Amino acid sequence: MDITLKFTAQIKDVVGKASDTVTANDGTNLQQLLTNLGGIYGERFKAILFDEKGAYRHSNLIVINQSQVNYEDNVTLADGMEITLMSPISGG
Amino acid sequence: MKQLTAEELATYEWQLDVPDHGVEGQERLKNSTVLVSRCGGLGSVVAYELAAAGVGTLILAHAGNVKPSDLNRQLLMTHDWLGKPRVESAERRLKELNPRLNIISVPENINEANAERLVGMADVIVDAAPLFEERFLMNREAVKQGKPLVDCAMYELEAQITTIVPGETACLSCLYPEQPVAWKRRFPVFGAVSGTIACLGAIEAIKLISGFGTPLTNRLLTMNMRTMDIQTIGIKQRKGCTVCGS
Ligand SMILES: [Zn+2]
Repeated sequence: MDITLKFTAQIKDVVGKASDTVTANDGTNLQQLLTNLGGIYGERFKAILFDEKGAYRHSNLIVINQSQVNYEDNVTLADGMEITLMSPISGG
Repeated sequence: MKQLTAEELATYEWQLDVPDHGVEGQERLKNSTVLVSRCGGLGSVVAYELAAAGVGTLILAHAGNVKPSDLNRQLLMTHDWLGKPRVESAERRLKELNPRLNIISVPENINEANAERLVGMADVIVDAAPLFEERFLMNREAVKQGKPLVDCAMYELEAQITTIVPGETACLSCLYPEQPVAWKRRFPVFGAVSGTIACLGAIEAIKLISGFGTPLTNRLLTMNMRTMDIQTIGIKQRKGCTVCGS
């Protein structure tokens, strides 16, 4: 199945683009996807999303269908889903 | 509550016509105090719009002197004030626009020593600080003291805003429970981007004080001005939030 990804701020900067489409196996959940994305987008991406011990950094927001979802909720992904990963911004 | 003078009735004539605002809403603005921190690209325009709208008292917290690199966006700072205190420049410019405005200038950024007192003096807080440490302090005090806080932020051509009402909404620490690791003090910015989200912040503060419209509670409005995509994201309280959780 295809998942559309959108990125903002520092996550967008390390990925190098604002959106992407990735293919995932049926039944993949959110946590598996985010772990797999580390393999696609590299160490700097991984360092924003996960700490040294591999724990998710909760200040990065995950948005699905215009609603925030928690990493722990670990939703099962569906074909055509759009997931936005937002790193926190504070510019004034 | 102080009533409007004849001069004020004339000045605000066109906004008195806004449905659900009127003379009563304008009197509420006149009798209100808003804390704006800091007065950079975002806070300058928030303060300017609130001064124009007739908010009675502004508390402006911003340390340091005006630098050349402020002048692309910090619209209350001017070339002739280079090297002199930012809050003085801001006060002078705001008084040119609205000489009736009462300004409490604080030549400091929000810190552990002043946050409780400054938040305590305000009815509404507009948070426009470039460091998360300052934002988290204002959020903590706003939640503790039950004061609404409008949190506006930008980065490059992206911007976002949410309105935090303690007891009703997610707070900033629900949104960001841990210190963000990727944020850097220097960020790419056009004044038109910080100014755009600043105007949204100002109208949120005006709505909260006057009491009309629907605030951006439990919603995060995000704008990408590179593509002009705008969306509103549902956000929620975080169980076990160390600031607003039970
Ligand atoms: Zn909270």
